[in-house]
Amino acid sequence: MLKYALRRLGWLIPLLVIVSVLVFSIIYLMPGDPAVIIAGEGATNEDIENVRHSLGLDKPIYEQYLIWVSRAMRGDFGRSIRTGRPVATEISFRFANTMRLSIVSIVIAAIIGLAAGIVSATRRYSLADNVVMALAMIGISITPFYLGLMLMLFFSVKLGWFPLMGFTTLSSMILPAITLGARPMAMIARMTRSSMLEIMGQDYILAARAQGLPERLVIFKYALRNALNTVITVVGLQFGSLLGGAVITETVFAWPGIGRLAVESIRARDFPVLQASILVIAASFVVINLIVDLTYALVNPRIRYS
Amino acid sequence: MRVSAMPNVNSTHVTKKFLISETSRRELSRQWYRFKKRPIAVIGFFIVLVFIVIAFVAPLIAPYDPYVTDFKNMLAKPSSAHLLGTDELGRDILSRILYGSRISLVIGLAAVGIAMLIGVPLGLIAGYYGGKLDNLIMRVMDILMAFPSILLAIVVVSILGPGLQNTIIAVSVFSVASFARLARGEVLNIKNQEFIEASRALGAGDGWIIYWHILPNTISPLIVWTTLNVSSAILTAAGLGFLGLGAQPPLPEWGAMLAKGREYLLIAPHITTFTGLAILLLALGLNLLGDGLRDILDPRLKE
Amino acid sequence: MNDLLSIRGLCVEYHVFEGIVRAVNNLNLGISEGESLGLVGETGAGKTSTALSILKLLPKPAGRIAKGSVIFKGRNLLSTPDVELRHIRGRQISMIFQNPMTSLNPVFTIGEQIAAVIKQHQHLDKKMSINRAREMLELVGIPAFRASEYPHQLSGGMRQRVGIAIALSCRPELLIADEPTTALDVTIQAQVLALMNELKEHFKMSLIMITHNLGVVAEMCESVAVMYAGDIVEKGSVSAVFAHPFHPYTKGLFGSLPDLTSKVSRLKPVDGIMPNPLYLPCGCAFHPRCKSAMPVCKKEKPSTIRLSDDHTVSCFLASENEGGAGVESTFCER
Repeated sequence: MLKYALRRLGWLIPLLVIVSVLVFSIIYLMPGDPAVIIAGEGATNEDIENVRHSLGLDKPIYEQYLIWVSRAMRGDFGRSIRTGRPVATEISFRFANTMRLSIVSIVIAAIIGLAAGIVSATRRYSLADNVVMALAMIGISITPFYLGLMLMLFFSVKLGWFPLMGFTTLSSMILPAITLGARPMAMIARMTRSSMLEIMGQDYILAARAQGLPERLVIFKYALRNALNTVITVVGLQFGSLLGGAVITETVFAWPGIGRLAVESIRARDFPVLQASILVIAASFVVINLIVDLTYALVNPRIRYS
Repeated sequence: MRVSAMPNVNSTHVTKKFLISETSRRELSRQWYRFKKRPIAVIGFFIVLVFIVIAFVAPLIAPYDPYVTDFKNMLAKPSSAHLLGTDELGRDILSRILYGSRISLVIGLAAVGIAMLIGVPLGLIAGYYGGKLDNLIMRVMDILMAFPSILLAIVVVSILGPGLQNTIIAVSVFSVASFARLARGEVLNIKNQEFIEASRALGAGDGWIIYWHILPNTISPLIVWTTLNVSSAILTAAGLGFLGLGAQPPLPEWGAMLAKGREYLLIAPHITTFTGLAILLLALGLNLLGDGLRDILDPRLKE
Repeated sequence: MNDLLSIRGLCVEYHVFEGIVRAVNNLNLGISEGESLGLVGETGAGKTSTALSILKLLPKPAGRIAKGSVIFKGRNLLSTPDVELRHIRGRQISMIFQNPMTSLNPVFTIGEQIAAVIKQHQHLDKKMSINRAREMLELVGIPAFRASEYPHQLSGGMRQRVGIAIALSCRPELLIADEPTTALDVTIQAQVLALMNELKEHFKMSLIMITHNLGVVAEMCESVAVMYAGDIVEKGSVSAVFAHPFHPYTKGLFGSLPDLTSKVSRLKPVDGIMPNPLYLPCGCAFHPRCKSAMPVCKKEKPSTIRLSDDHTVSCFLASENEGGAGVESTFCER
């Protein structure tokens, strides 16, 4: 186990480095010269050159990268081209918002998804099973923007239950959380169901019944415990993808999150913000995936002792 | 005694053909039975079929030209003249949705096709040869998968610029990694089984083994995965369109239509509602089909 | 006198894609206190289905008990609701399964798994249950300190011992062992069988030993029942049946055993294969393979004839001598 963990951690640093290089080079692949954009309309060539020099854009690329990385390690991501404010403050604010939303979404998704999956597996072929599976199918086929807009239309506009804007109150979080959590919820429900079904066909479940253990114990202790390994992995992975994939939901609900920040900065060619936000998203995605993998290894005794 | 490759090749060839014809008829009928038994899968199949047909015959069945504007009829509610209403420029929504199916299907199929052509061979090679090559390829895939799929697509599109072609490329990038992972996993499953060793003992070369033994065994999960990937490709492409980064107006791309409809959500909800419904139905059909195929083709599932 | 467990007219079917599989057809079997019965037959004869039926553990929804009764200490288990059946499973009737690799839960320690059964049936608290579990481990020859280990850390033979420990932890009156040593290699087989014999004596249990190995029957059992295509074709004490096998199938089984004393160039298996349980032959299920088949064998199913005090057989060859009538075959589809 320790060897496995060390091996994964060993790959983590190089991966993050490569990712940061890629993120950094995005701005050079994109059309548009940063100096020109910053200098603004009607700037003369001299103005542009001044801007270029002051931002250090005339240095060789690898030097720029190293400067950027060293500053980033200290938490300094420069200043936004658009607003002039320090990028780091903006990012931490936005990231916190995304985290809040993501955590609420995944918790709701995990609880409902797990319950639905268990119900479905234990009452196979029943009405409950079919309903759950149908809803789950819709959940993975629907896009957040459609679901979000429909929810908004129905609950905010027609029924007025939830506010259209805002990000601080609990009620303003409900609709975005449901929208964001719909797909993970569906995936978790399906995964739980298929995992439970597979496990319940195993010999040791038959043996447990033959030992006279009550059905509730058999399902919730003997079977579920085996399924949890898979389910936890799914929950973790879904959480990871929520962080960056929340882009669409954040756009629909005007939620001030980091995904939306990344997209806005692409549109505005606000390079410092762009680099920083994508780096943060990718890095947290990688780290979360690693944590999920290690947790899985920890929870599964077979890997733990091998 | 010299063992030459040729006669042995023929005998495995013949055996395989014999085995296929002997069991396939029964297998097929059994699979058809299982397919029929799951009405959901059949529904999915028909939905997809309907959309494909629509994509082909859109010009014939659309009541209006999707590009023609009609400023006297902007944002009209659904009526007998316009079954699904009109958009902000007076264009008929139904016609735009019908034409839009072409765009979405093209993006989905093309993106996944490319991803498959690149990803599967990479995965097969990585899994089969193992070692350093495997390590290298998988590390590259790790890097690709370090970004959430939508974000990756957004980044690619912002580098290449918006538009239909670039959307296809952007959407396929992430799929390449997932196909490679899948192919590699399947190869690893099969590689260590004894019939591969037996085959090698008969003199079969690497290429032969990959082509005749490993590939046919990967086809089932591949079919399932492809179907499901087309579904998510279409959703991602619509997402890009929604953000304005996909196929540009006046192309009737569903995601872009939804974004526009959002602006008029309060006064003309029908734009958003119907366009989104179209996306949902197509994705649903593909997912139902993919699920149904998975149930049928997975030999490990018992009745 | 069959007092402990009595199976009457049991019919088990499985509903599958191709049709209805008739796994057990009108089976009658009894076992008394302290008796050890060997249930012998080839793979597919219906032995496991019979065993699972006793405890109503057939896989749903495919498996169904179509007819019959299983009387245990005066009570028909088949009409007992599951809630009450739980008190019998694991406590009065226990079962050991064939594959030790898959019959233990991989995510719990072996101690926990034994303790869980003890806790359930004897209502002891957690600490006492674990202690009893450790005692059971020692009883089956596993050092108690290994109670905190997981199944995958044990070898196949040890896992099967754990299975035995679980099954015997509440001192059942009847133990059903479904091919407990088939998945083990020969030397371990001997150990596990010796252990089972010892425990059987110690606890004074009845034992139904399901196996396809006649040697195991000889070593462990007093009586034997030979199954073919879902029914019992010959039954009696081991000494009677082994010394004078009557049914052609039984004779074939014994005849196919290699004899160490004589010089034989080829083994003699029974000709043909077990019939497809979807399409059982009319009349006696064995007649297509039987060298002594008579016209009546194709049409009617033979009834049970008593050859002696401890030996019965289902064959028209016996009733020819006795002049008994046969039973109309019920599954003829052709």
